[in-house]
Amino acid sequence: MTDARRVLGAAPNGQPQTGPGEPILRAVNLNKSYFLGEVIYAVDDVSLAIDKGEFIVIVGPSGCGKTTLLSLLGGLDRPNSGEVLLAGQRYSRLNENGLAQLRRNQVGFVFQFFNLISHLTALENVSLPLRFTRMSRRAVRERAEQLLDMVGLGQRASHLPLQMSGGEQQRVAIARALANSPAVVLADEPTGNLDSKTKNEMADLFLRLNEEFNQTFVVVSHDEGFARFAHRVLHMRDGKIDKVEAGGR
Amino acid sequence: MFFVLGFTNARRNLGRSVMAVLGAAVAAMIMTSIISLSGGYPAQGWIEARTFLGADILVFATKHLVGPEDLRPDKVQVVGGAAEPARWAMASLSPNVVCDLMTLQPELYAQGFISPGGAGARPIDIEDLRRTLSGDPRITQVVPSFFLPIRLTYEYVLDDQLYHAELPQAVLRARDFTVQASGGLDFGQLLVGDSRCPTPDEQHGLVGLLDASLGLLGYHPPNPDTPRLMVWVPAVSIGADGQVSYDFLRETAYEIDLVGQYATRTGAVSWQTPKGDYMHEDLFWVTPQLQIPAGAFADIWAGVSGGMPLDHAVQVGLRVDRLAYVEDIATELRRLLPAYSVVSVPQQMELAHVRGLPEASFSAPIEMLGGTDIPQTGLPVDLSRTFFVLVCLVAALLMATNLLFLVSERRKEIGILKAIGARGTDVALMILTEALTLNLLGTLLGFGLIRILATWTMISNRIPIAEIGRATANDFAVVMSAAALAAALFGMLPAWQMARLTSMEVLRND
Ligand SMILES: Nc1ncnc2c1ncn2[C@@H]1O[C@H](COP(=O)(O)OP(=O)(O)O)[C@@H](O)[C@H]1O
Ligand SMILES: [Mg+2]
Repeated sequence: MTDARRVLGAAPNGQPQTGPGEPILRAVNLNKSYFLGEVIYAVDDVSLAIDKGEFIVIVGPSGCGKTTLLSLLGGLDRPNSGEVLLAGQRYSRLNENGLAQLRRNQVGFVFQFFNLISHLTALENVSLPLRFTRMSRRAVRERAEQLLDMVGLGQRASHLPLQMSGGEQQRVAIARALANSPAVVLADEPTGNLDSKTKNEMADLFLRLNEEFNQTFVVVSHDEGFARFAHRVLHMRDGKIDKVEAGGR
Repeated sequence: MFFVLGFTNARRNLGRSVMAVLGAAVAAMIMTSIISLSGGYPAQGWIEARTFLGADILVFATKHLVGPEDLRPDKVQVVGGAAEPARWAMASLSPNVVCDLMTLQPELYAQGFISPGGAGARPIDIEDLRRTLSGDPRITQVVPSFFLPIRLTYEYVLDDQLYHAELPQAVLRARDFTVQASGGLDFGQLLVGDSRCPTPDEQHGLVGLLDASLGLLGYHPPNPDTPRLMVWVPAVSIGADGQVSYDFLRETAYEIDLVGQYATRTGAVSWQTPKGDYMHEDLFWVTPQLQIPAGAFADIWAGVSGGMPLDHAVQVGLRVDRLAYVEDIATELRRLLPAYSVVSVPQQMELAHVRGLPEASFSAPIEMLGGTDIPQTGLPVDLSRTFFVLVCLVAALLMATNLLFLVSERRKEIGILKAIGARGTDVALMILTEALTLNLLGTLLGFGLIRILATWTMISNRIPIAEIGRATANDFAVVMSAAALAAALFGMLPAWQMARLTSMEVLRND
């Protein structure tokens, strides 16, 4: 693996500075409900603050609102009320394009089902977020190659997702999530679809990225592997964070 | 970059893209053929037919697609009964009309394309022609036309005064009135007043029918009390070169008993005057023609030609049942009979004449008569209005389903793109790019395929290359913009939908 620090340092988008002790991601009284015959409070008055470099794990039974919370934190969805702030930016002040820009520059997503674009190669998938920027094609290519190297897939650059294993696909997805040096990486059950050996590799990769680059992570996962590395483990139930534990670190 | 994504997507999902392209191609083919059929060919066919008519042999088909105006008993017989309330029907000319080439092509006659045995006409040996054609089941009838140029003198009465009149350039024409006896000839429709047809017994009688519409040319009708005409027929000879010549210095006079007058209605015009009155006027085919029984004609011919048998016609029509054979037969005959000019009459041409080409001497405003191309465009315009809209709708729907399928297949991909920061407009742009690319590609393909055929038809109809080029460019523009419009319209809806889609809807339940 190449010098990952140099790779992440080469990010085109400087992250907004945050003062010492200032949390990079904050949620204030977040609410999100759905109406399906009756009202479902998917996220119920959640407030939290996450510091830069923190590794947060969220656990909770199925349907308790974990995915919904992540989508609100990542600006994929709008809350009914409450506010999210990422590196000082209030989501409620951003219009749709502003939110898209925020997702592009400040947020990295990793999903349970990898969600790579099936007709693009690994390299093209990783390049995708970079191609929104003004970077030259060559620079994009170089950086995407470095990112793939970093997740140990330098040799698979020209492979299509279907030609790769689940673990490999997920690593491509992680490389993509990191492409724009986001302020925070949000991962929704990133190992939910992987076998146990790959699960551990994945957890190790997250840990390495967190430790070496001080990358902030919010990971929804029931994996022991993740809980061991976490700074904090948030327990959710019925849309609320009902317990906060210290993680294995 | 979203253009690039659209393209990449189209390329990598080749199977699906090919389907979309083919769908668009089919749509374009439908549109192209309807355009090619409705616009270019008939209009052009008219111009072309005119430049090369004047032929010795005309090959024509007898079935037409006709409009309601043509479904009149005196003009056509509706296949399956005249009472059929069909808007459009396959019809054939009544046998009465069809056995008369000049009736079939009155305008061509008026323009001098069909010469009634004038100088330079080359007679056609009918028996020879029959032998040449023998056994060709596609030709249902050989219709020879016999004419002689004549001078007519007669008496007429005006204000109780008797005058002598001369019609210096009339035509004597042979007609087979015996068909009437078998019930096949419906000449009564064409007769005026208390006229009658020559009977079969009068096969060799010097009796005849004169065109009643002559009055429209400024001639007074013959005196009804002494309905006698003097027919002055020039001496006929056929030179060694096969050319017919007429000697007007050696005329023979025949006295013909006029048993009636006929009128050939070719159409009608209705219009509104500036004062708001509704006017109606029948239109007639006007020729200075005297029709006599075929036997009598043969006798006169023998008299003026010094006993030559009447086996050479000035002009021959070949009746073909199916339009599809017409071009083939004409081409074959041109090869078989290099001495004669052979011309096919495109269906639309023929229909134009069936519908009647009015004379300028009528009182209807000239715009109503509209020159020679009103009947010509009548059919294609009527057809294209209805069909074109319907077909375009079908084609557009085909494209729309194509595009909807294309887009719905990509909900997930769009969700991913939005999650990593694509804006709604980016996504819409991507979808539109792909839709337009595939659609236009398919349209190009479909247009090309059909147009090759259409161009071939046009070339074989001897339409000038420049004209073909212009028509092709025109139709290309129409089809392409219709396709682009459809792609934009029907791509817009799904593109907009997808642009509004939030990623979570796509990514949550997978
Ligand atoms: N689009 C939606 N419409 C209606 N209900 C929804 C929708 N999305 C999620 N929910 C409901 O919100 C609750 C939380 O869902 P989710 O955040 O996916 O839970 P988790 O990820 O913890 O399993 C569930 O009860 C779910 O049924
Ligand atoms: Mg979930």
